[in-house]
Order: sequence, then structure tokens, then C-alpha cells
Amino acid sequence: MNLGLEYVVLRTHARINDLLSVEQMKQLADAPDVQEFLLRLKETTYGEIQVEENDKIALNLEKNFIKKFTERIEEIVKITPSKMGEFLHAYFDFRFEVLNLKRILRGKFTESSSDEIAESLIPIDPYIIKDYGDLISSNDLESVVRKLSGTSYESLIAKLDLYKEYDALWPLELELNYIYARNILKLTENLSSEDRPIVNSLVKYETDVENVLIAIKRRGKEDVNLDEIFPVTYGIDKDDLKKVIEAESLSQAIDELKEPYNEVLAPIKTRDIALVRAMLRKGKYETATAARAGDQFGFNVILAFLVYSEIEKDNLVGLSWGKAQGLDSEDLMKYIVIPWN
Amino acid sequence: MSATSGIRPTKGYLMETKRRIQTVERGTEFLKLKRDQLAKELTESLDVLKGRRGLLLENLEEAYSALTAAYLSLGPMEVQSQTRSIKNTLELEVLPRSVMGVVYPTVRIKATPEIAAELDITLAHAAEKVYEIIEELIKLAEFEERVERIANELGSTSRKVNALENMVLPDMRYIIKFIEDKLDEESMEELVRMKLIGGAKKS
Repeated sequence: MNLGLEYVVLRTHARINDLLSVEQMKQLADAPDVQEFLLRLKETTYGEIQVEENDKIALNLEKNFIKKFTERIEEIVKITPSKMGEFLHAYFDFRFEVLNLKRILRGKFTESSSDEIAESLIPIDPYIIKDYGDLISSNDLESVVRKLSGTSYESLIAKLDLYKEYDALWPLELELNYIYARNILKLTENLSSEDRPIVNSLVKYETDVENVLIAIKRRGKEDVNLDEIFPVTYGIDKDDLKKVIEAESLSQAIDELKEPYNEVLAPIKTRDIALVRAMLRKGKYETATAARAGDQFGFNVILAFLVYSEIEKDNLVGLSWGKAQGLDSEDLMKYIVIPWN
Repeated sequence: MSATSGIRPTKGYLMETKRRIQTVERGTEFLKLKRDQLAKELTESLDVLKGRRGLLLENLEEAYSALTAAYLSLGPMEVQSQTRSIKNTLELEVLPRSVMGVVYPTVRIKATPEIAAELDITLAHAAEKVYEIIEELIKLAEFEERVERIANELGSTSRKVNALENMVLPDMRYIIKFIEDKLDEESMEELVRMKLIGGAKKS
């Protein structure tokens, strides 16, 4: 059903108002336990969520929040003009599929059972792949990769040699990240020239930060093959990444990165590495918000809403896990990004 | 039963007992030295143990915070999936070692998991912290076992020293005195008898 961009934008503005406010998020974080968390969540637009109260409650809640998020995407995509809708579908479903592929590869790498692998997957319909079950039932990791021949994931096959050489998954996982980035940027060609910058910014920003994080992990290692590890770079080039790997002082190397990367990666200087992910989300939020402010009546509003929704989903996943663990709101809120009020 | 029951008050037995008491006294001295050394070792070890436990608690808090942060950043599903990609597990070998005759187990790490390459940097950081804790726990367990075995050996050595000093040696000294007294008595009797026999012959 295509109802025109104006209608979708209006609907999206209304949906942005339905996002959980800072107060609501704080109330959820203040819940003394996961039962109270669910009771408080019932009072929000999420309504009642029924999950079995066992040791997998946090995992089941995460699956529920992902489901709610994919429903939001579907609702928007359904009424969005076709090319835009197709792109939005690809933007999120491709990402989830890449995550699922990584999880299948990890399971196969350590010879986990098919049930364990299936359990670890994000509950979404396949996007490019026909059937996850076929991949899960493959004999080994190599068979999984070879079955991807003829799809957008075909370049993974060329990385099998590196995988064997290092007996490690990272060459395949890195390639999956770049497949996602390359394909999404290619898909933006279907969007109008005004709608492309927000996607470019988001994808490039995320890839650049991931590249720096990979460079930090490679610190102290000699003979790092930059072309092998960083086949795709955008805002931060290979020279900058080389500096991060080789610099004596990591803090100085981070300071020397251009904005906004130096700010996003600043928590590493105080060894609060997990805060980088929160900063990354904050950066995505700010990018989406800036793009939305530049065009209140177009595609940017729709994408911004979906970016906000994804951040909200991540926040709820973190909060529900924290509540299941009995953590205080103070410990939780540090890593929760709720800047939209 | 008294210490002297079944004792043969002969010169041969006296000499044998005197030789034995010398050995027992030397053994007691050695055991006292061992006891003192074990006590010193135990005191020092307890101080180290206290320090290590304190440090472990601090590091545990740090590791727990890093792990919590990783879960909050990545979500439980992603954390579980990533941890599945760690292929090599921790392999340990337990070997016996000895200090002053006290045998205790030592743990050697044969293989360690490859954490950094496969995990997200957030999780890798938490995993490194947790791995440090595991290493510390292994060392602490090894040290605690060592301390416990030294304490047991100290208790056993102290009991042996006490038994030797308060029971065995006094008994042996008593036996020696008893035999010497008996032998003196016998030689006096012999002397008196000889004198009586000599007096009777003269008369």
C-alpha cells in the first residue's frame, strides 16, 4: 500500500512521539526487578510482553524487542513509496541477516549443535539467503560459505584461505561488515540525491568506528597487513589506522583522529571501552537528528525514526538484561543512550 | 601400663636405650627446626594470602563491571554468540611440588583461549579481565592448598615434638634411670654378697 511520502512522514512524526521518553526509560531502569520492569513496560506503547520466567528471560525479552522493532520497520515500509521502502527494508534486514550469518559461522566454527545455532539467531525472515535452516544443517563452516555462492555474500568464499591460514573467524566477519557497507551504499543509488547523504553518513560513520576498534585490537602486533584488514575505509584512512596500531600512546593517537571519531573513541582513554558502543549509538542518533532537522518532510524523518527505534530497542535489551541480573539503575544508565527529549 | 613394664634391666639394654635416646633427641631437634621453619613459612604465606585475596576481590569487581558493560553494550544474544567463537579452551596440568617434605599441587597452564582476535573489543576487554581473574584464582587455589598442607604438617610436627618432649623422652629417661638404679642395686647386692662370701671363707 503506497500512500505517498507526505502521509508517511506525518505518520512517522506521530510515531516519533510514541518513542519512550527519558522519564519512562528512567522509570524502567528504576524498576527493582524484571517483573516490575515488565509491569512498567506494560504502561507504555509496548504493552504487555509475556515471557517465561526462567534463566533465559533476558534472551527471550531481547527476541521480543527485536520482534517489536522489525514490526515497526514493516509498518513503515508497508506505506512508504516503493523505492524508499525497498531501501529501508534492505538497510535493516540486511544488517540483521549479516548478524545471523556471523552467528551461524561462529556456531559452525566451534561445532555447536544445530539447535544452539538456531536458538542464537535473530528472529527475522531471511533477506538474501533462502533458508537459514539449510546453512545451519551444513556439515562445516566451509560448506556454509560455499552455499553462499551466487549471492551478495559470494566474496566470503575468497576469504576462506585467510580463515584457514589464521584458523580464525575474523577475516569472514570483517568481510561480512564490508559486504553490508558496500551493498547499502550501492542501494542508495535507488534513492534521490537529497536522501543519500543521511545513509552515507550513517554507514560510513559506523564502518570507520569499527575500523578503529579493529586497529586497536591489532595494537602490539607486527606486520599487520592493512589491505587485508581494512579493505574498505571512508572518513579514517589507512594511514590514520596505521598510526592507531603503531602509536606508542593510544590516547594521543585517538586525540589526533578527526571529529567526531576522537570524541566517540574518547572512553578508550579511560579504559571504559564499553562506553564506545554507547557513544557510537549517540553519534548515530545525532547524525539522524541533524539530517532530520535539515528535511522535516522527507525520507530523513523516516530513517531517523527507525534509527531512534533501533537505539530504543538496544536500550530496552540492556535494561531488561540488567534488571534480570538485579543491577541498579545507576549502573545501567551509563550505557543507555536516551537523548531524544 | 608403666613405662618400665617388660624392660630388661641389663647393661646391653641400657646401652641400647642410651643410643636410642640420643637418636630421638637429635630427631626431636630436627623436628623442632622443621616446626619453626613451617611456622615461619605459614605466617609469611598467610600475609601473602590475605593480600592476594584482597587483590582478587578488587579485580573481580573490575571484571564484573567490564562484563556488565559488555552485556549492556552488545546484548545477551550477541555476547553468547561471540563467546561461542572462542575455539581453544583453557588447559591445565596439575603437578606435585614439595617444600620441606610437604607435597602440594601446582597448576601449569598448558593452553589459553585466543580471546582478542574473535571478540568485539568490548567483550575482548571483559574477557581479558575475566581471564586474569581465572589465572589469579588458579594461583590462589594453589597457594591456599599449599598453606593448608603446610598448616596440617605444622600441626602434625608440633604434635610429634610434644609427644617426643613430653612423653617419649621422659619415658626413655625414666627407663634409663630405672635400669641404672636396678644395675646399681644389683652391683651393690653383688658386692655385699661377695663380701659376705669373702668373710665366711676367712672365718
